[in-house]
Amino acid sequence: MELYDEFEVAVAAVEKIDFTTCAVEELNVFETTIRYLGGLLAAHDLSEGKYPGLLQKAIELGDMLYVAFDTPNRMPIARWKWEDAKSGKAQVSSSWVLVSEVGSLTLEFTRLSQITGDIKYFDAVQRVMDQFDVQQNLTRLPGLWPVVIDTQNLNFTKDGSFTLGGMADSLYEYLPKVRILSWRHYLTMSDFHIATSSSRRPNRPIPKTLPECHATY
Amino acid sequence: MLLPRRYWALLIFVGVIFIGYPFVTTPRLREYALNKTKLQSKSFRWASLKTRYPVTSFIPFPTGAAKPIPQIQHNFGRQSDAEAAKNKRRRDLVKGNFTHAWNGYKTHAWMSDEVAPLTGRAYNHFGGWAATLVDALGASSIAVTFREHRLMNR
Repeated sequence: MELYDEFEVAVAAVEKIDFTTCAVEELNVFETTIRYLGGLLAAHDLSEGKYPGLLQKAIELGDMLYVAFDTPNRMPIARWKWEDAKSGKAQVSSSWVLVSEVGSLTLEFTRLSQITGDIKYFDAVQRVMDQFDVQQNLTRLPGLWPVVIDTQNLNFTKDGSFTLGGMADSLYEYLPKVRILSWRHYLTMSDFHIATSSSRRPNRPIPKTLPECHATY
Repeated sequence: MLLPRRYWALLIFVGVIFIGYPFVTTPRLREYALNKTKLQSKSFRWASLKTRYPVTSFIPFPTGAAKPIPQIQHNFGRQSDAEAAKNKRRRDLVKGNFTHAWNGYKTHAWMSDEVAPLTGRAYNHFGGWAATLVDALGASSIAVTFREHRLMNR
């Protein structure tokens, strides 16, 4: 099959990528996670581990991105100056972050921990989600999180704009997906119905629906 | 003309600075310095970077019995010849679209992040690690074909 050969060509090219350096000064940790780490892990899983180079690259990139979590409160830096980190400079998380940029890292980091057996990647993102859990019902629209959050001072409750669309959608997308991935439970249709239908009525507080959904991973 | 000895020393010192400075910053030397950094970066590992705020107690995986993940794909069941032909045509269209995009990327932007669909220019908006290449690895078109291949060779 022609596409099969293309896959082999692609894997060989991927093995040459150098994750010790980067073409941009400020790396978008979210985009890098979902595109690169997600792509590598998906290919590793779908090819059933036949190409060790894919996992090798996923680990190299995972170890790079893990450094973006090296802040006093272990919250990640969404727009990350990787060179400063590489030279050992102290870093702090930002006080102005788009919610999905730190809330949509769980699938890739969880899967990387599952495959490698190294718990540190899961631990890194679970710390973030624990904060989401703590603050979920303290926001101006309890149950949902605002578009902008402050991960430096751990305040997710200030901003007053909410959406299920761009800048927030992947956060809500990842909650059920990571629940499936975590093998403990899988999302039932009724959970999904509760989560989506109640959040379409923004004036009504929605206590204990999404927390229940997310507390399980 | 004779100068007192200490003025000669000063003159030589200034001369060395003036003559020597361009040598220190010649392109060749700068290139060497860059190569040195490159060599260092080859052996650099992110995992060996010292953690400033290390985690002392890791959060464990959730425990409990694993449940199977339900099938996502539609089960077509028994199909008539006409239905099967229609589905095959649709599948080939999807595959054709994928191949078109993949070939465009390969021709115009190989190892860059993205190809601009009209001008064919290469862009690096995602760190310059060949984002399209890595992202498309997981695309079902490749994966499905990979599985087909595996099944055919059984």
